[in-house]
Amino acid sequence: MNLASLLETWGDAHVLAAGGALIGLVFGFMAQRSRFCARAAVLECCDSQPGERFSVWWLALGAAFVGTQLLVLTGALQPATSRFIANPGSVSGAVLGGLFFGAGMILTRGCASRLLILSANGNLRALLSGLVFAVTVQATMSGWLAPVRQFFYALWPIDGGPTRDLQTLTGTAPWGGTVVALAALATGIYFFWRQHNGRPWLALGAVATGLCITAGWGFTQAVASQSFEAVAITSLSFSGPSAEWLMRVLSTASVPGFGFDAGLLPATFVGSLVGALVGGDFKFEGFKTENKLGHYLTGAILMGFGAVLAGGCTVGAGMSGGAIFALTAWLTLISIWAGAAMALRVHKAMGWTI
Amino acid sequence: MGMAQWIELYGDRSLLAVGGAGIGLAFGFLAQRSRFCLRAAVIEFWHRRFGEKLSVWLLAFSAAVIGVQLLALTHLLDTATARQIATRGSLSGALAGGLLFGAGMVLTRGCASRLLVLSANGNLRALLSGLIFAVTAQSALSGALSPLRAEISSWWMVDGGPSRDLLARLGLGHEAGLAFGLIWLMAALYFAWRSPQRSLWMWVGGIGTGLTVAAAWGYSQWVARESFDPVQIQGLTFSGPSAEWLMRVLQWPSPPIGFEFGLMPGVFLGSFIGAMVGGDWKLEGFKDGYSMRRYIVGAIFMGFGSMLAGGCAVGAGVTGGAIFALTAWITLLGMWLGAGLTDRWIDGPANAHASTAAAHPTPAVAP
Repeated sequence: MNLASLLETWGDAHVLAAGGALIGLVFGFMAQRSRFCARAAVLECCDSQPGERFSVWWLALGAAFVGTQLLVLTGALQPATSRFIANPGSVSGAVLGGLFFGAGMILTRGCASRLLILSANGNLRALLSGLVFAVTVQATMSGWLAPVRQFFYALWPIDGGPTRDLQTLTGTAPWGGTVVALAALATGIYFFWRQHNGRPWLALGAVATGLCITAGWGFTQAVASQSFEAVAITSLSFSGPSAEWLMRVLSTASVPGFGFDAGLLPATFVGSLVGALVGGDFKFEGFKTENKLGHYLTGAILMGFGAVLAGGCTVGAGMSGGAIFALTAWLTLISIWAGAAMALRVHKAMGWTI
Repeated sequence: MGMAQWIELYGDRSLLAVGGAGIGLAFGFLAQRSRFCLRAAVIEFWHRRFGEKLSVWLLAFSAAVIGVQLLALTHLLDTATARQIATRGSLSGALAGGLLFGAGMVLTRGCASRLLVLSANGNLRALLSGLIFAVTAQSALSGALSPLRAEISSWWMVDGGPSRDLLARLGLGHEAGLAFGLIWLMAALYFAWRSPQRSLWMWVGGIGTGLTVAAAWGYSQWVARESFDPVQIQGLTFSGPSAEWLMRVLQWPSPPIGFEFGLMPGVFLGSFIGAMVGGDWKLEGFKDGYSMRRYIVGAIFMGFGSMLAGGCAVGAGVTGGAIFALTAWITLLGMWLGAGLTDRWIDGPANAHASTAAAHPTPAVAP
């Protein structure tokens, strides 16, 4: 049975959701096992001691870039049709959103996808922060925070099309992206080899985590080119889907249609849960005596607002958008690192434990 | 200028919102100062320590009953048009919802209104639990949990009208309701007099909190009488408004404003002022992982229970109780039972040596 007949039998929405679920399952499992975490990577990097967590993150990033660029080169993916490049965007939104998100993820001790993965391991801090994150995302998209988002967004808007494509902007298409991707992968392998020579499973986990991004792009593009309806190509992202699920739980009147995102979120949770059970990591955890609920709440709100402003979280903008070399995604990724580094300095200056 | 002109000038919805805010402000302040809390009262009751908390709750409850019945006797309030009496209700929902709510408020250490009051005192546990409460309530109202709520409600329905009115069912008038309220006031005064830690705020706050419930009924009836549009009369409640506020923050276009729109911020502000006056403001978070599990489960129970029962500890327990709605009394009974059982089951072992009275089951008599 091929994809076309599957689409005919089950309909686009269900096939997309099933694909999202399958990819989410793998992502959740691999990310849990490899302890894939952007926040920990920034932390190690800012302490000038790139270690285990940094190398896992960097290797995953490199794998995602190379895989996705290979898809582009073989014609299995047309990134120009994705929302990251085709739609109008905002430079100010990407930069400010990234800064907010980065600062938030330091306070909350994990970015959006990490919160989801930790929730499935019995971490109630992450579960609650995730709820606050989802509520803020929804309020920023179409609630009370929407006017604030629009204000920041309108400071420096840019058109969709080639002006949002980094490769076109720099005149390096079609090989520029591949070269950068290969360089990222090569440095990733170097860091990894230096850090944990002899842990092939960890390397495999990191690479598989990254390749889930590629799989998301490839799968939705395959559906889009086979389907008779308009299907938006996309890849892993956690800010939009968490708001979508929140609204699905809250109100049957305004349930958004099923799609890739609808399958992705619960499957990532299940994948991470399976990973935790396999590895014996499952443990109910709440707030310790340190009493940092205020930090978590502030961080989750900053992340939620930042993610919508920037058009994605560390995975959604940083990896999915970065892998197709969207200008705003790269700005977001850099700003997330900058925001996180600044928040770290503030933390240290205030004497807070990190 | 009379109410009719104000309605003409500003519209009945804005007037309702302003009234809600004003009454909410008074409720928040008085409830904060008197530490009005159904959970604490129930636990005192089951532990046979008839002290300050029970006195405050009884004072508020009896004041609300007396106030509402006086309004009804002077024809300033027509209780038959209240949602809790006029519309079709569910006895199974009231009982199951009350039990769940009671269990939830023991787990979360505070009922819905108490969470709102405590949030304004810097208690971040209460703030987060309140968010979970609102999410669950909204989900039970019209989201993923609503089929379950409808199913439980459908087991045993009761028609609107006299069959939901306890006084009408017993063939009694509002005089009997007033007498009932006075009896409970006596009981409240007795307990309050015996209570070792009585203070002025206990008296003023307790009675004042109850009177704000009566004020809400009277005010919305006043607007309803003078307005040309149909206006639903209502008392204080916190489950519906918190769900409404959640959706207001999340989505555009938001629901139209009304009494509930003003109520929530009013209570928050009132409690905040109370905390400032009394020097109670303090940022507080979670202590450990175990308590977090309790708070989350409790907030979910309360959110679902209050929507099932048609009101929270204040909305059904005091507001609905004061107009003698049948379902509200069943809900209140369920809350006392659910809270008592949960307290024995969850906190019983820990308290067993602290209070030997808890070891003996008490007859299930609830006011």
